[in-house]
Amino acid sequence: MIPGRKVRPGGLALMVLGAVALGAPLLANDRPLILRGSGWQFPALGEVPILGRLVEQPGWSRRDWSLPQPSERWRLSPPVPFSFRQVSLADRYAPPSRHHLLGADALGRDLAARIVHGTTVSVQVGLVSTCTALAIGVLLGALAGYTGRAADFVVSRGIEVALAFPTFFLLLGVLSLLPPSVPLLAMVIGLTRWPSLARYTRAEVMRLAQAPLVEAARAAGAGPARVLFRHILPHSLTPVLVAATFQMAGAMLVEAGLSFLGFGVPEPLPSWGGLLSQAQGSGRWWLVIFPGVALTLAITTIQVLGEQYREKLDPRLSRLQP
Amino acid sequence: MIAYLFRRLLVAGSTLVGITLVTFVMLHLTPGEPSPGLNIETRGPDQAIIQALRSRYGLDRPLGLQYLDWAGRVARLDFGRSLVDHRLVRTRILERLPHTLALNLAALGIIFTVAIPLGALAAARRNSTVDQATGFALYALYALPSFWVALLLQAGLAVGLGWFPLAGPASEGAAAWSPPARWLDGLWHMALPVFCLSYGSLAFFARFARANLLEALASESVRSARSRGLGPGRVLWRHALGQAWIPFLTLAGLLLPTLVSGSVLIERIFAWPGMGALLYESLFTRDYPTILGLTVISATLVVAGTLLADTLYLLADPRLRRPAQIP
Amino acid sequence: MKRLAAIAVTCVAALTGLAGCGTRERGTPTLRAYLSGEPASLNAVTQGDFNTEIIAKLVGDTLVDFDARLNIVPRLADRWEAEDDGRRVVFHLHPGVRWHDGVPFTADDVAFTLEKVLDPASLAAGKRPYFETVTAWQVLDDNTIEISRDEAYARAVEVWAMLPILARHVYAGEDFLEAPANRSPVGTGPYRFVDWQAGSSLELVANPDYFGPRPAIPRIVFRPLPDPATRVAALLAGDLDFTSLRPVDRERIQANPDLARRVRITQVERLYVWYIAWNQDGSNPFFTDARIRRAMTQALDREGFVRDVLQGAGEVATSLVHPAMWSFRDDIEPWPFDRRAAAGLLDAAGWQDHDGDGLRDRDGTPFQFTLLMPVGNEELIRAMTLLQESLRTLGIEMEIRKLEYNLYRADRDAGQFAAMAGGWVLDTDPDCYDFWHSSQARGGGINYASYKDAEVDTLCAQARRLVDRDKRAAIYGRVQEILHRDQPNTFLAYRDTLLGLSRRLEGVEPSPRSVWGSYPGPLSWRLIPETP
Repeated sequence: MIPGRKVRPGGLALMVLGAVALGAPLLANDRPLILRGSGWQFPALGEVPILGRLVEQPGWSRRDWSLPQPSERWRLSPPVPFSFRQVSLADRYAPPSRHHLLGADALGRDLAARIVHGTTVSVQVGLVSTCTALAIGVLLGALAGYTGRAADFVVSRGIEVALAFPTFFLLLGVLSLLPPSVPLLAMVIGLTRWPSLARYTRAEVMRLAQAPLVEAARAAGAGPARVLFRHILPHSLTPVLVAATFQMAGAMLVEAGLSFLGFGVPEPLPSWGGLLSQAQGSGRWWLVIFPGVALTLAITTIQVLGEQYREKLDPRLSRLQP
Repeated sequence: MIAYLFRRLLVAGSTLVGITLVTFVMLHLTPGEPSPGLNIETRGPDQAIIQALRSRYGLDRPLGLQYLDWAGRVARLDFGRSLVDHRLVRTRILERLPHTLALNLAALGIIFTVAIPLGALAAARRNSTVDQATGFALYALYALPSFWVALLLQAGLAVGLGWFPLAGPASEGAAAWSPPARWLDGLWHMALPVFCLSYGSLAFFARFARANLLEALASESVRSARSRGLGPGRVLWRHALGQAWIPFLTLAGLLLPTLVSGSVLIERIFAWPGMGALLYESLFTRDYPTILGLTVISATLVVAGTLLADTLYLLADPRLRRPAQIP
Repeated sequence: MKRLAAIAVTCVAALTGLAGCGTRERGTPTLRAYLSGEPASLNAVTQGDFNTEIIAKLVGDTLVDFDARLNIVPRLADRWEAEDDGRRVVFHLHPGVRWHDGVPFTADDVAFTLEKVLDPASLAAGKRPYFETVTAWQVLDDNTIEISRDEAYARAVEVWAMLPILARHVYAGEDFLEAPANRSPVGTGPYRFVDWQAGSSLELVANPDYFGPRPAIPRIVFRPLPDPATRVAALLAGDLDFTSLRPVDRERIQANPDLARRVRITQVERLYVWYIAWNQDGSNPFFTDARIRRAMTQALDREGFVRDVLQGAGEVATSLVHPAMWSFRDDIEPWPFDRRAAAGLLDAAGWQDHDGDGLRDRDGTPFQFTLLMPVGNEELIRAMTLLQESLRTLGIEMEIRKLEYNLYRADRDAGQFAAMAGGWVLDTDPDCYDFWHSSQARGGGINYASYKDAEVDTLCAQARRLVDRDKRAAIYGRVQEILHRDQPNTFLAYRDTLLGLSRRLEGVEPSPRSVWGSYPGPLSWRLIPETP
């Protein structure tokens, strides 16, 4: 590694991760990217989040795309021409080959397609849970750090309670009461991870409250809310965001563990942890290795990025306060 | 100082009460009946039996009364009896505690003995290739999911090569062996699970050690020592280490709770009879007394750990803040 | 430095020495068995789980038992008379039997056990329903007991196969649920309890004074191994003498000659069936129509599931009656996997895609529903995934909801579902009243689908009062026909047990109930010395 050129690898890898997560329907799908029939159609685009709604046509989601479509002339398929959910008992446990690049699982579903879509699930879980944890944690932490001793007392005790609470129990209990959905799962995971972010925020806010800039603002007559939001938080957020990147990695691991135990994302959505769980005991090396590698790479990427970000900001901030 | 401690202890007590109250309420709000004999179901739920269970354990009383009664007994260290096997919760927990403690203490031991030198190395050669490579490797280690590694290790080292036992805390018949043999046997069985528990935290602790050492190296007292002519090497390092261990101790205080929390995944894969597995089973059978008992213990440790950490920090802080006297 | 090296070498040597210890045979020939979890207690009356049953029936005895072909055979009772359609049963007990602590066993102990089962405070959830109708019992002498019921009961003798007898004197003065005997049982059985290291091992030794056939294996040690993959690994490593295998395990072992040499594999029928219940109580607009239920059955490739997912370790099911049972009608052909037929049935029922969105609908309601199922049943999840995909191409959206067992049970018992998947451990008696009678739909019954058919109601009520097997078989045959026509459940498959046995274990003849579940069963297992 060349000193001075630190940011590139992490940032690049993260962009790749994001691209795969967003563009999964374009990378692995049984729908063609381009369908030339009597006109031009872009079926795969229809499954892309947000944008896809402009393109999607009714009936597309239940059509059997493996058959030639009416008046089809030619088609361009995605790099992995399988959907993550199409089963084919004839292909069960197919080893990696030209047909199934990374092999197939117990029901003949293409592993590469499932890993690609697993990226979307994992990234979604990571982002949503971290945002949830940040929203709650930063708010409470700022309250504790700035509003005064009473609020500090209450929030600090709240943090302790939240830390001591059996999180696994909370996860299972709440998850079982909710309809199965990835965003909800992610929010619940985020709900168990806000305490440490709150502590960070609190520590930073308390530190910055003494800073000369803040004193000046107060002397100029700014009210407490204004001081907090305009002057303190922006500066204190940076270390908190660094901590948040590690939270994100942790959340993804939690989801993987939950899916491994059978409690994670709803069928048939693939999750890397779920893939590993299904692979257990099958004795097929590709089912065990590839999802694990994907999970490891994704998390390493996030970690490295977080570390580099932190180094760039202020070496002093390398002191981690748990 | 004493006043501070006293106040904190009072607060700690009330926090404990808060934790137990929240857990209690949440437990009873979650749907599902306690179900001792879960596996065999040949007929629908027998109301007479459900009622008998509820009245035996006072589950048909108002929640507030149940909580007060339970809290009163806990104050006398009586955690009640498990709904599943009707044994004292205390006994059930104590059965599992040594297994979890052994695993976690060993894991902590490994983490410290490996992480500190690694961190020191990285601090000494800051920003060099070694530093970057170590950092990257440690993060990669953290990213490996523990259950995945456990499965791979089990398949490779236990089944494949036969170097380690597959599962369980002891070999068959080990109870009859002499203590040293039993000890070694226990260590051998612990090897794989401990590794799986510890490797992930290496990154965190090594980076922490590195950061602390760097901070200490840059501190006033060390710089003044250098300016007095003490060369780099052993003497300087001892100075730096002498200051770095305090925040480290603080961290140790916060690790207290992890000593008795088991990892459900690792315990399942290695058939380790620990607290994690106990909590997991108890959740599914809605064994309220056991769940509450485990919560009390972990809550006590969290609160104690925070208290310890804060106190240590306070002790350390005045010394760190005071600028070194430059002669 | 040299000292360090010396210590290190000693440690390694010690460890490798220990490593050898575990696998070499030493001392008494011991059967290495497993339990799928820690039993909560060893008292089979209060505790219903499989692991408790295994131990309780080795340490204790039941009055009668099943042999490997599901026939009733004597155990503690030498002979018996069942009169008046089961209203009166007299058991004549084997004389001279003693408890493991030396105290003589008498009919009074049987009376004690019966008292305890009937007492709700004993929490005998699994056993009590079978003895509920007992109205009186009388100890006629030390070896004879008479049991009376008011109603006819075909199973009056058979149900005693599930109740290991407990000693009154052992529980005297103790709280039944908290007694130490629940952790260190005293029985009359072929094995005596020795020790239980919680979480580690449970040890039994053969009882030299056993009144019945002497067990050939002198010692058994059980280890709790909850994870199936770990168990298979233990079997292959030589640490376990037998375990159940999953189809993938069998595949893997057969493909590897080295593994195949170490292990023998047998496939045996098991009284277990998977099913999907379609809720017909009117809370959803789909499943009250039998055509739709039949369409669901034909939309699922059951043959493919048995062939590819189960790898032949099972059979497509036609009802909750198992082929091994005497009432099974083998002339009923399961509905074939036929998506076109399924589509036709759906169309005929009025469910077509009227608005062109790819989903079938009727009167503006789209055909989408949620299927409830418990966590942890890997093969069932696969079957449901197959169904989900198949239905998707048929224009039906099925969402799968996996719940933790306790919550799944709560929703299931309350009827809070449109469709529900599960598995049943089947009884040895084909009594269908609880499953299909319309009165059993809620409030404790197990007619989860809320199926209601007048003829089935009459037949089930009638058959459970009869004792004559032929008459009952005729009635149950007719019931199976009706169920086949109506498909209140989609019966997925019966699942066989795949057993992996180490080469040194011989004489294992598993019954459809379980490996341990026959008599004398485990008593005739033998350990042959391993050839080096």
